[in-house]
Amino acid sequence: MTANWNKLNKEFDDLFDKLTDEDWNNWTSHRESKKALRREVLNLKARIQSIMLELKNKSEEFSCNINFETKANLIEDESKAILDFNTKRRIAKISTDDYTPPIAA
Amino acid sequence: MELEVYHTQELRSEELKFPCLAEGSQQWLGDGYYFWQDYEFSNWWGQNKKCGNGNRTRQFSIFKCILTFNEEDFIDTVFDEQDYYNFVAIVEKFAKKYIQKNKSKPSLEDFNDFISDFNIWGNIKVIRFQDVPESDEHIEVKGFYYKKRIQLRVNEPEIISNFVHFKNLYCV
Repeated sequence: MTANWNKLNKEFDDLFDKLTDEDWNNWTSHRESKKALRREVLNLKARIQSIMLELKNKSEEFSCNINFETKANLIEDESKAILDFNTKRRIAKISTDDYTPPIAA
Repeated sequence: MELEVYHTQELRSEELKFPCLAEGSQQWLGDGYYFWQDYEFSNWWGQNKKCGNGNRTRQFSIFKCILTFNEEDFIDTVFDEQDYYNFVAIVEKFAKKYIQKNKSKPSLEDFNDFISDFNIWGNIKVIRFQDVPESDEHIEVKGFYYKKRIQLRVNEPEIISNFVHFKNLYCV
């Protein structure tokens, strides 16, 4: 099994073939701000995963799986909610201030 | 699907607990976590890219970790023919349109930004890609670059686990 190229190519073609000159020209305008947002999201996700791995290691070290697992799940849920909220807020800000490219179906 | 991979960094006073995010215009597949599939090339990378004059310890560290992902979230341009040719087709389709619009060839960064900004391949978490050795150092037949120098680009930290220090090596 491999990547689902029927889906991936359809997504690409649907978007690519419908790009107008205006879409194309606008794309370059806000690349840096979008890149900064992506990096921020990636770094936050990495911090969450790093904490998760550390908690799991401690859980195994002290043989107290239930407490650490429960705590880890709570932290993960909470972190994801914060990340989701912040991301949506930043995306909303970018889309109201600037141009937002169409998202692949 | 699980893969054990290697990550090379300068020796640091505080041991890494997670791989470093590679950022910048020169990253082959954009910002992300980059790993070597084979130990020998993680060592080669350390010797060649992590042993510059700025490295005062004259050592570098190699880490190991596990990547866990579904196969449909994976583009394997190294070992899967379908993935390779579809990947090439998309790169060239993008380049053709870019040249038409801008009258110049796109850069690596242009391609990666386009893929990310338009959320193309949004579900793809791992891309495996390769170049070939530039020297005979890891080649048993002189001038015959039969080995693939394979890397993996990960853009989803959640799939990275069991990140542990493997060994420190001296720059030679």
